[in-house]
Amino acid sequence: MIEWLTAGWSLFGASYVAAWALAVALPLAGIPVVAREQALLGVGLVQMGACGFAVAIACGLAWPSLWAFLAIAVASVLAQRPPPRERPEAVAAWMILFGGAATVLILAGQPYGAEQLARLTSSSVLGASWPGATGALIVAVLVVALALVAGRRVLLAAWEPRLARQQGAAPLVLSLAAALLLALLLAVALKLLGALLTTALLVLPALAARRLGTRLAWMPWLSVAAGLGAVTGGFAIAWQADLPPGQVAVALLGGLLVLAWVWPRSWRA
Amino acid sequence: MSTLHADIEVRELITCAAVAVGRAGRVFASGLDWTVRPGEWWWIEGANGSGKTTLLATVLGELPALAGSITLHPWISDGGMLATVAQLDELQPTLPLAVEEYVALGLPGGRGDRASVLVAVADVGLEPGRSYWALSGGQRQRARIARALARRPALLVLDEPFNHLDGESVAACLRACERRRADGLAVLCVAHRPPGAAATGRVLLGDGRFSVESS
Repeated sequence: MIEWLTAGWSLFGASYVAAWALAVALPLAGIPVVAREQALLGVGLVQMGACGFAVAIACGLAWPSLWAFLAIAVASVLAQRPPPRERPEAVAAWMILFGGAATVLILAGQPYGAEQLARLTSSSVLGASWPGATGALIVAVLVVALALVAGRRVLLAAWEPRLARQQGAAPLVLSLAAALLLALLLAVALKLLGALLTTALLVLPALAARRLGTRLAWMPWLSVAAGLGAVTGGFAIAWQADLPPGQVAVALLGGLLVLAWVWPRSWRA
Repeated sequence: MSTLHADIEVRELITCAAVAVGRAGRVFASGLDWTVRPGEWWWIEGANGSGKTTLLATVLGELPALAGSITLHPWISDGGMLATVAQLDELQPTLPLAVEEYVALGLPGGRGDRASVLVAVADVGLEPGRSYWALSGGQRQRARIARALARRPALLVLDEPFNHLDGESVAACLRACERRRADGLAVLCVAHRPPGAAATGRVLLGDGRFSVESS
């Protein structure tokens, strides 16, 4: 049952640790995103991060994750201030479409461009190194710490900014700080998990959790449980069936959301 | 004198002298001389567009007075002892939320005193544990007032809180506020048709003038 863990640890231990750390952090970070009804923007930000990676690879720049972070941070800040008379969904749609096309165009002429593109866009969970896993753990600890210390204020700034202002918080500052930490998290996750699993862990656990629970207090627990369960199940099933674990985890999360949609209201936690 | 904080005597929460209010340089009404003390209940009445909400915003320092002076007690000016209930709820039903969680979100620091949250919920006749999103419009308005009362404010400002409410909901809201008046809570309430709570008086807006009538 746990052969994937015991037998696979020497080969994939770093990948397991990185995926679990990010399966805690990404679902937590997804809660304010879902509170603002901006799941589409989450997808767009990941796409812009992939675009940043592509630029770094094409130009031979050091620290590709840094360029992904900058691309996501800039996109995230711009998304909070859409052009006049424009809705945030339009900006998110632009990011997804433009970012997707630009990533392919930038890498198209590169040696091994197709391979790099595949690694970036689809899941590459099993390729993590121990330094990468350590980075994922550090970012996850930062996200959990922010959630414990200021999670309520960050959520309030995203969900009910007028009330946040009345309570002496500065919604803009809080949103900016949260956006920068989200950009860092996404840049690290993109490198280790690929765009598909990163996006899925950001939005699907929180979307499922809000359908499965009746209390706000349950949201973080349900979201993290969904993320950890999907990643762990992904590794286990992938080992048994010789499948790519990232895609299995995404499929499990997709199935969970469908289950949450049909889950009877009276059974909700 | 307020008994909200027994060791501090408060005689005036708001003092207005010859105040004029308006927006974008246009004066809606002028000549307001008015004092709000702890435990008082004032209705603010006037036709649509006469400037009732503008008056509240001006008195609370969100808009500048076009003339005159407004003095706020520090409890009010720093917002610590002020609670407001707006006409519209900006919260979107994107996350699950129990009634008592909705009320607790309104407390600075969040978790606050669970007992005071449950008392405020019970005071407006709601049951804890119910989903906020499953409440009717009137019940949600009760929850908004419970959220404001849970903060134990010295001044509660209600902007047309009884629109679209049935008699039972209005009575529940009034009862909840009345209970806190004995502790010194002052209430300013904008309403088209005041539902008849024992008031200190009313501020009427019309023809570009204020008139203050004491009961």
